[in-house]
Amino acid sequence: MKLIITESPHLRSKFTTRKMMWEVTVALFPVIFASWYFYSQDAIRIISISMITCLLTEYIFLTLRKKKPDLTDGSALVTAFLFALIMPPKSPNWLVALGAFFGITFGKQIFGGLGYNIFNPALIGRAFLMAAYPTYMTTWSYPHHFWGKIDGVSCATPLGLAKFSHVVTPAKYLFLGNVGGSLGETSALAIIIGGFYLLIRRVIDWRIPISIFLTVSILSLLTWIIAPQRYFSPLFHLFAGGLMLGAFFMATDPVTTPVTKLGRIIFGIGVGILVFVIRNWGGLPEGVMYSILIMNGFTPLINRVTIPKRFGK
Amino acid sequence: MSNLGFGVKIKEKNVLEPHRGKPQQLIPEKIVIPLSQHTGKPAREVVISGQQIMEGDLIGEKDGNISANIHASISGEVIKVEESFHPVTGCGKAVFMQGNGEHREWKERKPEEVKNLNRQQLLKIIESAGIVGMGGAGFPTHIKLQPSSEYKIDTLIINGCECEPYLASDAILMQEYPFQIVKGIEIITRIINPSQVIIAIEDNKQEAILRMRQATVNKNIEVIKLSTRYPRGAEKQLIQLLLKRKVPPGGLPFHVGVIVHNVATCYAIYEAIYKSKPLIERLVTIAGDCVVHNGVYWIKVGSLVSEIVTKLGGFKKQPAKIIFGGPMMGIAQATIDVPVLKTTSAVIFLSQEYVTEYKEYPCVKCAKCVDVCPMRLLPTKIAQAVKFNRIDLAEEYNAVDCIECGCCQYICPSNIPLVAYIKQAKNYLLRKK
Repeated sequence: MKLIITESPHLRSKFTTRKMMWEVTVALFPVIFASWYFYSQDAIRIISISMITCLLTEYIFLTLRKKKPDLTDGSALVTAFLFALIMPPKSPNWLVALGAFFGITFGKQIFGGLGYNIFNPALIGRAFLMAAYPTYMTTWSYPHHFWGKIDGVSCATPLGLAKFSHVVTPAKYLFLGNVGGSLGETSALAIIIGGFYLLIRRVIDWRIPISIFLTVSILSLLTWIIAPQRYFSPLFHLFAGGLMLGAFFMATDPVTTPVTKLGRIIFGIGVGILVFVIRNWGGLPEGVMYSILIMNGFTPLINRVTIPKRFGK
Repeated sequence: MSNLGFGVKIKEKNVLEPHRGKPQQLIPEKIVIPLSQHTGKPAREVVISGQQIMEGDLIGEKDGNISANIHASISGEVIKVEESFHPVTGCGKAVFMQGNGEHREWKERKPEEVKNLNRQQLLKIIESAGIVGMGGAGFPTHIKLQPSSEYKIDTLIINGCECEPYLASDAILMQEYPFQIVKGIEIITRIINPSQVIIAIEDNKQEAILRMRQATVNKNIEVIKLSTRYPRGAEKQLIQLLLKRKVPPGGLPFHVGVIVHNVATCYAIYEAIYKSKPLIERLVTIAGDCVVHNGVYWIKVGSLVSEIVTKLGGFKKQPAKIIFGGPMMGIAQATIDVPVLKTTSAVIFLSQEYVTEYKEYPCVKCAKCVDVCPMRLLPTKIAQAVKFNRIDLAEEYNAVDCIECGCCQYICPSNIPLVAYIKQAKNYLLRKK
């Protein structure tokens, strides 16, 4: 009788990395739908280019690294969706392809591929474009069903309007999404639906989004109470810009965030503080991308200092 | 931070057939009794080949302070004493016997007689009966019952949380022999004199809870129902859950005034005291999808798995893996000719269908392993440290605390053999000390 010997445990749960990536894809559906609703063919165009570029880049790198190219783990696909959703709706095709290529290459593959990267690949792609092509990356177009008066060709984001012209977009429109911004960041409603799905399915840890939201809310509430004419309300900060999308889908990327529970809270607080600081006192109207990337860099250190107390101590 | 949400809920079909009545006894024709079935030094053999002995006769005498007696589980002739397969250590010295079908009449003690036994006499009987902890580790019971006098023992916990899937030995024992278990518990309380006695049972064993409650009416013993979750039976976590006491790292329950015994050990104590019967048989769960008649049986210590299977109708499916113990912590066997030990709670036979080869994927640091670890470790970090030969980091991450429950590996979406990595670090660090 031929018997197989392995170490215990002899049972495994049915939960796999693949399933995890699928859950994220499913959770992104409301967001993708919203982007299609507001930007129709531009949404489809950008998402398709991002998908093709990401998968192709991943395939080429896995081949060069002499790994069996296996795209079915879904990680490149998730990066592709996330990258597309944080691009301006009128981005030219070559810009999308360049950013997606850069994100997968320098955000992920040169570190050794899935699981070894330090920074969120989608955000790395966007950060690169932001530095190399700032004009393209800050030119926004009007969504269908825009809430206000259409004035000129390009639209300003609520955060830009607030920062530079002191026009506050009503929270209702921020929530629904008929405002200017990246493809997938405008509709807080769609993002919250997807985020809740991830929370319910236990794909992400509530600690990260909740600590980001709480930090931003508390800081903006305090400053708003002190100087309401200079600072904006917590509700505005929560629903405007990329905070929702970043908190639910980027800051929760397991690979680039801490593994300890306390570490995740610290990570979230860090992101929250940085977002608030950049939005209010930085040169840019929005800072979610840089905040998450900066905290990604702190992740190994956060893990190290938050080793849980030994059981029994 | 509390850690009560630790562990995993394992949804496994119970592959046991419904159980009715008292378990059947299986008597083997031949036995192979290893001389090491406990924590500590192996027993020293006191029989020679050719000798005729009776069921219950001493064949291995405890050697040194931490050791336990071994008795013949059937009557017959000693064939030889030599190395044999051992389910835990791989191989070890064992006594081979051929049975002659004779049974021994156990000398029963009357309740009054038992009442007259003093503490020392009770301990002596337990010691000579070769009783060891039957939950798995096999620590000699008579030693556990005499902790250092600087610690005042105020609580006795009887562990009825048989938390591994498939296992049903303790559940059936509690269902069918509750009064005997309680008598065993009462013997323990006479020895250690605790102020409270708690029997902890998981809520998936409703029948056992009911029967144990009936058996403890008007006694100073509390039956507590706990939610079913693996590893509910882990000692330190159980103590924290029931008593809010923290057993320090590297410490033992008696350091916080607690002694934990398994229900099967209590039953063995009952038999030793009331029937003068040494520990020579135990309830074993036969599970999996291969054997014709699965179930819980009284199996003689030293019975070979091959013979048990033949007695239970043979295989209906070819097993690809044979596991001693539960599927989470059990040990996969290399051969079917291994004997059942005092600590063997189950033998599980899995066909190829249930034995998947898992491909390891890169860690995505989802930290599911961190969430489930009952010892609050960072399994992924320890594994990573081991991979990169950073034993110093593994130490910083407290790898020695691992109880090898397997939750991390069970949940890991990337199929990383975390337990193997952590064990490697743990063994290295323990040896270094």
